[in-house]
Amino acid sequence: MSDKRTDREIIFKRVSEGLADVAPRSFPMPDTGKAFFRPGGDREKEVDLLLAEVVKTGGAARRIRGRGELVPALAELVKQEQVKKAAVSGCGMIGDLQVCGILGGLNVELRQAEGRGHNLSECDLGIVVADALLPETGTVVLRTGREQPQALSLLPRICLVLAAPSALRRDLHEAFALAGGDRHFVLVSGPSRTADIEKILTLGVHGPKLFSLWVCE
Amino acid sequence: MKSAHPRIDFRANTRSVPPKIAAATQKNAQTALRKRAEVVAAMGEENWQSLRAIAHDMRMHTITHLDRYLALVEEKVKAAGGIVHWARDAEEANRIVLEIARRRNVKKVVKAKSMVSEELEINHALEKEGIRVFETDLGEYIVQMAGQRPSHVTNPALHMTKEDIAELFREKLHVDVQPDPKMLTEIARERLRAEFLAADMGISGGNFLVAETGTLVLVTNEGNGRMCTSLPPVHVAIVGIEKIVPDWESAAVLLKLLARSATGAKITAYNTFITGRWEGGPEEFHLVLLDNGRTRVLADEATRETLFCIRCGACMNICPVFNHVGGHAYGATYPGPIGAILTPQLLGTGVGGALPFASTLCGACSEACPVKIPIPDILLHLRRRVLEGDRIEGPVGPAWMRVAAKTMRFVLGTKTLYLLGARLNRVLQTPLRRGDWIPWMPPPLSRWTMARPFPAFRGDFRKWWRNRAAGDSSLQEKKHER
Repeated sequence: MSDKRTDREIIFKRVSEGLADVAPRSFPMPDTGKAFFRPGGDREKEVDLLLAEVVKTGGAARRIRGRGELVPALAELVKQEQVKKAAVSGCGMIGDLQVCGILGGLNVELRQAEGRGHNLSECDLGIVVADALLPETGTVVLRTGREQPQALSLLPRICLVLAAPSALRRDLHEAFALAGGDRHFVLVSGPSRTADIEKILTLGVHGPKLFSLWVCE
Repeated sequence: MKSAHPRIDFRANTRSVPPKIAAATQKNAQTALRKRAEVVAAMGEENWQSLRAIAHDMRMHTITHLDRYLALVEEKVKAAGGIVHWARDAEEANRIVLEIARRRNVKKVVKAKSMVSEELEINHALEKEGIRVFETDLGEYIVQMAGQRPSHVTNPALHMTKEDIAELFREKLHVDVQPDPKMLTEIARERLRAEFLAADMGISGGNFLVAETGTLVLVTNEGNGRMCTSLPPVHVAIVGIEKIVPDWESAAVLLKLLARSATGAKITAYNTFITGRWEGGPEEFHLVLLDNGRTRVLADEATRETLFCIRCGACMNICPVFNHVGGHAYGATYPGPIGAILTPQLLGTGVGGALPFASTLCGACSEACPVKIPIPDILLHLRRRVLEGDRIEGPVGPAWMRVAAKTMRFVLGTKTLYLLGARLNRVLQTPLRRGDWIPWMPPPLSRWTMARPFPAFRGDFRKWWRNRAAGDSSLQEKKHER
């Protein structure tokens, strides 16, 4: 890479020459804040909208009212989807809801991510916690970190996202204000999908085939 | 300007377009346009137009301050542990990637969908070195297996039917499969999952680069983009220098426009944001910032807005020409109206000079463009460049066409010659005229009458104009009398 600096210099020179006709301070940055026109609203309505939008993307969504509803819901998921192996996020909410204990009671083997998380490809289920929720598009924001590796929401066949209503945000702008400084984060809106063959929608291309969001109150 | 790319003969390319391509292209376009109209209506036309206007001004600001933002991206990516490379052209970009691959002893590469990598033909460069490259976007995987070029920026295999794809899978993957999209997708998933886990390097493009933090933004639906950028030990992102956005507010504006314009969805399934090296991610992150003709586009004020493009494909979906000929007729990486203005600028008019003429100038592309690129104006400007040349490039059109254009300009600008010509036309058309139309003309004018009759010369324009003006003034007088 001996001449990489040369290429840098050449490109900068070309750019400055190309912009020689542009007067200083012409074309100021517009007020992008004007594009932030979603008012948000009542929390209940926002949760309803979020759940409806997730379903529209081909995912599943429901409210979970306390641990009393979580235990049978997880039992149903494990049974229906024949979950044998799972991996869970290390975020506080998982511990608060004693998710590992519930899965253990359902004879589900728990795995932990190793390295870049290749081993999670063997898991049927990955459980993560949403850092933010965008009702308009049925989107969850997942910030990547040691407690919640990115492979956890990507490699297992099923992605289950648990979220608190307090994670609701109005718009992308608020989500970026939260996570924009992170080294890595993802916005996930429903299961992996494609329409590359004759525009026919097919779910579960490379990522999870089933995406489920449970808003835990 | 010299280019290794063969000259694109758009007219010849259109002659070999199978009818099924037009049908598939139109089906795709209709679905995308219908869904786009629905999401725009849900947002409200006023909000949509407001977003477009903001996006246009923001792109103008970014492109006219590109040096500042490029330096900022470099600084932020380096600060986050990434390695930044600069490539003036395709050859240099390929050399950089190959050098990384050699150093890391790479044998297998997984690639996310990237138009820039198509532009570089990086697969060939890697395969020459004995490195296996797997396209992982389903459409790209199919097209790569078929040894073809993508026919659409967001839907690479739209020219193929499910029967074609099933046949391809039977032949190349030796699997017994029915022409069922679900089954075909399942086979691709299984095959590629193994490659993702075994790959030594992941290559991606980038939809945007957020300058304030040096963040690479990747927009995908299948999840392959996330896998390519996180599972292999090395991630190389190759991004055109024009893909920069100043800040997160700008990124939000463009993301709102991108998915809606591309597929009619409010958002794509996965939006991934990567800043340098990250915990649990690849050991190395390389960002290759590519020029490859972009600074030439920047240098002409009249064409600069070409660089605003966010590769949504909306201009293609709405274009009547693209809908009849499909993407392959454009003979290069970028098809449709954006290809018609971008290709002649990136590869030179000697290669892509036919493309600015592959348009009806109806203006629908400009109306659909989420960042309001004035495509018809740029097409006209490039037509002039092809025929007359400008400070960017000399003329490349045939000499007879330049002579004909100059002659016509002289005749139309000289009153006596114009009047003489008008009279001659009326006389010369007599043997060919059938009523108000001329159904056939001798070559080379027969190329027009092959498709439609030519309207007959019916009178003297100046006389008609005088009469019309007189009629108008008499009307005005009558109005006053009332």
